[in-house]
Amino acid sequence: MTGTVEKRAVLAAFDDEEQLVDEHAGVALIEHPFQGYLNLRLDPANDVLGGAVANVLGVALPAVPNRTAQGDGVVVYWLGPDEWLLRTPSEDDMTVFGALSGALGDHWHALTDISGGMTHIAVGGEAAAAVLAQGVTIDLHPKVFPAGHCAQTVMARSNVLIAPTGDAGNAFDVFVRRSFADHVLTFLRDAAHDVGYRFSRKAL
Amino acid sequence: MSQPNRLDSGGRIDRDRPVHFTFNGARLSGFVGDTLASALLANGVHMVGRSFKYHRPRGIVGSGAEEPNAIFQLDEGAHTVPNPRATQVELYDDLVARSVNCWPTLEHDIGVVNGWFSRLLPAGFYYKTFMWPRSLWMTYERYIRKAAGLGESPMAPDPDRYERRNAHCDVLVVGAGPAGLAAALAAGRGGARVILVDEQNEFGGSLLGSGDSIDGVAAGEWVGRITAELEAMEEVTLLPRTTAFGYHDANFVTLNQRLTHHQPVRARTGCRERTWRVRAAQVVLATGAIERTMVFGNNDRPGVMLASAVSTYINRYAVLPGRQAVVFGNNDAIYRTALDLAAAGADVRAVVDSRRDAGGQWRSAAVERGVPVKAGCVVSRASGGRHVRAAEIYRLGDDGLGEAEDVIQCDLLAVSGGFSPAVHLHAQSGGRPVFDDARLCFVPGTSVQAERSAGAARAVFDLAGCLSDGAAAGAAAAREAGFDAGTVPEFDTAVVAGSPVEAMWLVPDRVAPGRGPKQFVDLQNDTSASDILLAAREGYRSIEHVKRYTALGFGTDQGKTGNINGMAILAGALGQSLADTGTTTFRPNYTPVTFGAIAARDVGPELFDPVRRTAMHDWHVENGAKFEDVGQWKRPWYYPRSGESMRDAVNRECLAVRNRAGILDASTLGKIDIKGPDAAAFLNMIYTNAWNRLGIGRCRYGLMLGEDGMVMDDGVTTRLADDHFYMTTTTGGAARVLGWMEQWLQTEWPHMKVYFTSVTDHWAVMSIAGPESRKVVERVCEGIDFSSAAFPFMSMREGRAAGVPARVFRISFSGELAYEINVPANCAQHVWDAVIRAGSDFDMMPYGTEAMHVLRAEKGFIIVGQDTDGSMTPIDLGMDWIVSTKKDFLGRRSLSRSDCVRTGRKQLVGLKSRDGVTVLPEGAQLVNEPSDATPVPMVGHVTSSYFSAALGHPIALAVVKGGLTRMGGSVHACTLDGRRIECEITSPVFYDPQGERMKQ
Repeated sequence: MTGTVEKRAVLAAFDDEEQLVDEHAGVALIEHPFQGYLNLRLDPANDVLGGAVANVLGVALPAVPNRTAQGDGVVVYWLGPDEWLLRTPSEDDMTVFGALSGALGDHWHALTDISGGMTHIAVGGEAAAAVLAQGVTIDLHPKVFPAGHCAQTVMARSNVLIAPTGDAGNAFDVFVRRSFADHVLTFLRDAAHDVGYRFSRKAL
Repeated sequence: MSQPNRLDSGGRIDRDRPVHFTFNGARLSGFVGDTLASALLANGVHMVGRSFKYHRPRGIVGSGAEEPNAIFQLDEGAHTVPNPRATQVELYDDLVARSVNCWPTLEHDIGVVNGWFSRLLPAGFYYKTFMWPRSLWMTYERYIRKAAGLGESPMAPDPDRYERRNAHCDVLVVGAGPAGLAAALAAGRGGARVILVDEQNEFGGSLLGSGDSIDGVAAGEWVGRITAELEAMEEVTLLPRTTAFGYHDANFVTLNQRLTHHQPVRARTGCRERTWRVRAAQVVLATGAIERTMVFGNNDRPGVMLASAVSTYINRYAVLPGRQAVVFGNNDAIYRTALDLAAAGADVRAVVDSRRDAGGQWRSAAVERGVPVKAGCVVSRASGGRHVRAAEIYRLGDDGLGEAEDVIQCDLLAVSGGFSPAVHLHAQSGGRPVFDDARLCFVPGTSVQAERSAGAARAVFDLAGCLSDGAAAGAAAAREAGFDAGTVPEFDTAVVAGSPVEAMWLVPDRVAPGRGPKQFVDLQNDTSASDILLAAREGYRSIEHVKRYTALGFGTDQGKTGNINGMAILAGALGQSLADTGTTTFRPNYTPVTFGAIAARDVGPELFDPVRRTAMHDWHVENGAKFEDVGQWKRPWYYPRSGESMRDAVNRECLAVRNRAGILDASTLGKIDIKGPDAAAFLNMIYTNAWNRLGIGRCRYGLMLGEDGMVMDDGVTTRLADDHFYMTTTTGGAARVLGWMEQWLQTEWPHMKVYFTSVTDHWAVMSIAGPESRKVVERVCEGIDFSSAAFPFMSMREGRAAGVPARVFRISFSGELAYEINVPANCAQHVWDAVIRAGSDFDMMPYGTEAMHVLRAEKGFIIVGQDTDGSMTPIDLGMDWIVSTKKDFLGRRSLSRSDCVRTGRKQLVGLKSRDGVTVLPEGAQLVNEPSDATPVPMVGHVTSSYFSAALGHPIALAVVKGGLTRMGGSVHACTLDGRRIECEITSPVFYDPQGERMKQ
């Protein structure tokens, strides 16, 4: 009965759309589907837990608000004083989940797989910041918001997590809950009206 | 050349690029670089409208945002713009403008009779005459508005695009005149992120209309040089055609940028306007100053213009507004304008200076030029009808007018009553302008936010002063924003020794105000000096009251030219100082802003609010679903087949579930993962029932109450492990419930060790219900024993569904045997397809929310928010069985309030219409006996009502006072069309009252 499981990307309804202005896409919108997302909550005052997590991830959980950390095959985003988002390359690879669960054992924590509930839209190009700034109120300037930072904010009335992917101020990762992703992409395409956009999906 | 008032050379217009436009039906032409106002003046058009109340002829007065008269209806159809100031409309090809407030035409206006009877139309006339009897105001209002109205709003949907953009900067500089340019340069050179905005099409402000030189070059060239340097700075953003219209808390300033207004309508593409929402560390207000008019008889005649505007028309637009000029005022601006007029070839017949002994270099220059100066004199009246014809000049006596000096024929009367700094934004920021007795104007007071004013905006009126003041302000702002501004730029320009302004708020007349010709203070609202004096006589003291009584300062110009004069006249009448009189409130917006710019892209069904879709949404679309909005979610409502009515489709879907199997997309339910050693203890507090002894893998229904004891949400929660639960909430209540739980955890019970994580989006949920549902899910799932013994009602098992790790819950909202398969959402369509295939052998059908509502109503299951309204306790719902008496929980104490335990509360019951066929309208009010004397007491209302296909008759849920004790009794439902439908009160459980079917 079971063959291969055919997955459907969150933004499958928008396959390969583009709307150029003078043959130019001021912004590239790229969905990176099917990554792993783990929500981790634990008591930051418990050094045992912090150490155990650092062992597994190869990097300590960022303690400074709105910072990211790059571990072994995992990117960690600070979400709150006791909450982090872990991003791994594939939702099907439960290695990190298993290792963390093992390391944290019976200590009070919550490690929750939310891979199906998130997607990732990379927003890049010369107009990237100008397009995002139509929807978010935070300062996207690389002096203020350089690589290694992240911020949870509201874009087009949807909760999003934004992280710059360089210091040039022209590339950002946007993470959004599945059910809001259509709306956020609709907003981004509309916001790119005067500069043009190209939407695509990263092949697996 | 068809533009009689156009000068042969000079100005910032492009004589090689003519522009054709239409004004009141006449084809006229101007040049690129013109405003509509300058082009009209170039064509000799002075009279452009009729006044608001008296319908007097009115002409162009100013050259910028202050213009009270030249407001037009621009263009036509969907593109029409009401009330733009012609002084700020850049001329473009095929522009069509017409005067507002004159009917039937500008030349033959019917309302002019108001002028003949103006003695009968004093301040407050409308209030005094038409507000009684009050009931007739609605009748009067239509005609008054028609006669007095300004422009007309477009009736068609706005075809243009408007955007919004957020921005941050270290230094926001408002105004790009000499002070603003110097400030931006100083801050920009220091490395600060600078945004420089100016409402005009090019930077330079007053320099665009002056003959000054700076750093050895003409002012215009200097502006170009500085602008180029700013443009080259990476961190500097230049925004011309942009008005800072509001200054809000936290140094948040809103800007309105006009991107296509200057282009011919047919050539416009892209965004029309952009609203910038700027958060600035520091703000420099270099907003300049606005010239005041002089208040004398007939000072509203076309041809009476502000002196600075006359200079601007000559120098910037190469337009000479008149040939025989008289210039009148109380400050040095009159000499500058006289010199400009003389240089442009006008016959300056007199400069009338109300000051007896003004000296200074400006006057000397005018005298040298041979301009006749009449010092200590005033223009007491102007004469002329549709255009000024002469100025009546009097010598000032010790108290009022002295001897008649002269009557000078003229076609232009340039006036200057001094300058008022544009303190609007400072005042909006929270500052309180203070009156400066020496410079006779309100200047910015103490800064409340991180802002400072520079240049003419704080009454530094000379060019050299503006440049150095601006540079200092820009450097200081950059420093405070954390930048080393280095050396403050210095600029070289001539320092001119002037002579101070002297007060002349109301020019004396031969007769008392109100007896002679009208002396206008506020041209747009036809407020005259006598109106303000009348208000004072009638007992008005507060400037805010006088404003509302006389209309001083209302309208599209918000009294920019007249307010201060009016305040001074009131101060004089009350015998108090201007400082004590104060100003009216400066509110946003500085100039009018279109609704489009404020709404921006928050329009239309896709962008106004998020539309949330489930992982199976596209399947529902492909299978013909009609959708229902549930909160922000789109849920399949029903799936009509060709030719089916909604009722047909819903009946078919209901019967499929009752007789075979149906499948529902239930992904929208809120889902919260709850983990920690105190998870069960927390649930005990948040739900009315007890959770300690729920077995692992078992599910339980829970009710959540607010602190007031009223039902706020419900759902099924499952125990995954000792310390781990999986909660579901209503679709619309998910975010509220998570917030509610976090609030209690964080603020009241921080000692509890429990974490909540929203997993609503991670899990897609498909509910398979009906007697055949077990067979369907058995075909799809692996690793789960579906026998009732191994997998009883209200339990959960983990396994695989179509190869995907799944949690399967045996719970039922339909009363049938039912399973809910939860899978990670990226695999949901794959699993759904597999279930659909498996169900095809059983004639399983997809069903929507409407069938779901019917099925649950047949079982008497409530929907929070439909059958409850925030005033229902569990006891009212007949659900006391779920309320624990052995433990505490949120809302418990409220349940014993006297109001919660009294008799006669509305209680949930079932209703059956006695005729067996009528489906009651939801929301219908219920009465005991319709024939009772009116008002007939209402005893409840219908909350849910459907036709039950399974039962073959209509069913309804309702709340009825004391309903639980009235089983078998009658109420009458009242419909909007006047019917009274008798109903039997029944149990709310209509179908399978023993609940056997779901436990099979």
